[in-house]
Amino acid sequence: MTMKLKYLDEMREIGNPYPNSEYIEKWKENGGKVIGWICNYVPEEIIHAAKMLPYRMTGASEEIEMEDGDAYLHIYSCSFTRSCCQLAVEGKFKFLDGFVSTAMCDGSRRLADVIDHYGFVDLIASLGVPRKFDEKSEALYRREIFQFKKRLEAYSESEISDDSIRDSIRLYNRTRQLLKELYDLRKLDAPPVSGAETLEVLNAVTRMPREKFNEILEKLLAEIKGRRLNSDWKVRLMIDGSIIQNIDFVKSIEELGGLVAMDGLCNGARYWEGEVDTGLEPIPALSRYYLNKFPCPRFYPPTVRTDKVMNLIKEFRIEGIICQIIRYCNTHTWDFPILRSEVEEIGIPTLRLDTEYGQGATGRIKTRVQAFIEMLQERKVAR
Amino acid sequence: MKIDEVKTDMWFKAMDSWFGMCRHMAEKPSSSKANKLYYELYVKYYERLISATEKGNIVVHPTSVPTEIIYAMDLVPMLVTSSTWQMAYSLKMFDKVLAIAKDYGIMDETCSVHRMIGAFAFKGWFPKPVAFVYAAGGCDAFCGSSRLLSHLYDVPTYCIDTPYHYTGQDIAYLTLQLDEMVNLLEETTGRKMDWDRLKESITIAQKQMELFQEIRELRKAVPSPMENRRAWQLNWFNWIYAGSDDGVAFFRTLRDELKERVEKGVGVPGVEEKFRLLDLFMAPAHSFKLLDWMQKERGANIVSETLIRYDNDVVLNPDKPLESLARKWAGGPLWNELQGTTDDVVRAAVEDAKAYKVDGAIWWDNNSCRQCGCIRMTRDGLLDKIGIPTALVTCDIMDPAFTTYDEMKDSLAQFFELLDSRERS
Repeated sequence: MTMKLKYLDEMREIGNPYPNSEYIEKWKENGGKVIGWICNYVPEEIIHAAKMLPYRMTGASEEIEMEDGDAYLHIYSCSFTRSCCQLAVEGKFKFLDGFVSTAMCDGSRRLADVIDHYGFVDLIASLGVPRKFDEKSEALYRREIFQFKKRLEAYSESEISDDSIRDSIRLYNRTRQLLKELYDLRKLDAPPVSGAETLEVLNAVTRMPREKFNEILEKLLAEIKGRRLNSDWKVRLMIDGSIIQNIDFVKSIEELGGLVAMDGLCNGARYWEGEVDTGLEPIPALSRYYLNKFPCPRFYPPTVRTDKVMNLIKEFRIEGIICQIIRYCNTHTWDFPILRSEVEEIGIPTLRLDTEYGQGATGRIKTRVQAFIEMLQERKVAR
Repeated sequence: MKIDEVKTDMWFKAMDSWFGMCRHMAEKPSSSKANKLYYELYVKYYERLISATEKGNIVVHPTSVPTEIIYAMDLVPMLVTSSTWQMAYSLKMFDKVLAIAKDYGIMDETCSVHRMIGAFAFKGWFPKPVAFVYAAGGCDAFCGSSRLLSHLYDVPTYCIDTPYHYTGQDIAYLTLQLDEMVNLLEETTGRKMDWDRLKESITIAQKQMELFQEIRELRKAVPSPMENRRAWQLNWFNWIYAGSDDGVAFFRTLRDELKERVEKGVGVPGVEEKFRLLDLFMAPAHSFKLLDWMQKERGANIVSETLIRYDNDVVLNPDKPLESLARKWAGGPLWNELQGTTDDVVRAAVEDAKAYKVDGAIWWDNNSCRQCGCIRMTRDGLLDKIGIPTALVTCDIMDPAFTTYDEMKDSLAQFFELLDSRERS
């Protein structure tokens, strides 16, 4: 029997129910401020340095009715942004003291527009994010972060010092180190932690104070290291895509014998990968880090992202990739043919799954995943 | 996956058919001077492109980049989006092309223009350029298809990263990139930038912009003097003939034609103006005859398009050619609106609705277009601020099977009934 993880339970308790957990309510009662952010390219360190709680705005982690989301954002916006919009219209984000977005994609741009225009939450800033990795882009992004800091200072009526940003960077780097440790365990032949459990950790990381999260994750890692999991999986998989938060989705894949050993998700490895250089001035360091981490597929050239995926395939001994594309996500839709052609050249098959955000593994999806796993197994035998 | 073989047969076949159609339109006895010139120049543009392709000369694909730069380097530009539309339209292969896109993994949930670009690229039906340059702006599908095209054709590429904001520093960022783009084109094509020629084309582009603004002003007249479909012609020529004498010739001819109508107090021949409409988005490219129908049969004049306008403060300086082009791009048709916030869209719509005294607005609710995220706010803005209703016409910009011509007509007819009853009450 699989040993239950006490500290994972603790994380789960703090982070749920989403969005407004009891923990957050208490935090607010004690005078704490909470700032929502939506995209990986919002530097949380700045919010933390302003003594506020950065909180990732997402949709519900399950499929919900999105009548309002459809009405305000139109059905051609991706279902992630519509789900966020639905919760915003329902007043579920009322506890947020402000909201920060980016112009990363049409969805996040238009969601920020709607939230701001109809006053669902106060929009503090929407950052422009360059699409390239060169020095000019870094300089542009530096200015965006600087402007964001200024706006947040005006909003909070207090100055954000460089020293406090440095402290926050150190704290957030610690999270990155811990998450890397967690991911590294998944390189093992019989990882002591499943992909579904890892996703629970990822859901928790942006829903509680970072100090608290790091403390629990350290304990959780110790707990995990002394544990053995069933190792009757058939193939090692990577899940790529924008954002997945439905634990059951990953659990179902694993129950079918696909070990989810790595991911290229927006709320997964793309969220935490790398570390901010503490030897640089804080804002330039943030600009460099955010623009150079495991990139979102909207960046140019695409080879930076595909090279990254290729390295991860080797590192984690991946045998197949499940590309989950949230309906109406243009960024991943257009990236898919490029990624597929590159990884198939090195013999890694892909399975494309078009799903709604929050969707669990339905019968149809399970059948397709099962067939994919069988195909991968047969290839293995044939070798 | 890269394109092994470029097969331009389809492209040439499409050209033949296109030329035939253009010549027919130009030679129609009822064709106005501006109309005739439009089709003649369209043919000229493609003839030059064909000649460059046949001779193995240089063809670049400047999707949404300032073509003034391409011409000043004596290169031949091919606008991918308009060429795609032209090819699909001429070949009448909408279903087949969209199915090809799907086969290659580009699903229906993205704009059909870009799905078609993807399909043509996968099949190698576009001529192979020596370099590919594109601006990553407007919408995600635009960036996505350009990124894919560059990947498949595997040619030296420059991506112009278009900033979200447009402060002086953002313009500087854009300008630096245009400079880098020039360097890449010089390196890959062996052609040198003719800076004098570029400066000259900036002067011409300024004239062209002024004519463009004059035309917009003339459309404020009651009755409005311009044919509904003409605005999109202006838009295309604003790209393919940017900063060129041919472009100015067309704009001037059209301006003169409209001016004459306004001076005489007449509108479009054969049209009795009943409604004045604001066009908020892109009409389906396969059914421009719908624009003719509403104008001729229902007296519905489209008097302004929020997508096809310049910000008032855009002034070009030939001594700063690249910066001028950055400003023109940022404040010019399509991109200033697609790239900006919805509040900018609403502001422009309300401003135009007042200035042009419109009775109603139309949003062409294009299948899978993410810009539809602006619809609710724009509709609410127009209604709440100035009491103007908006029609949402479901359509697909490239796929005529998505909504039939008659369905769109019905949808518009209902809207005209609403406008009628509002007028009566």
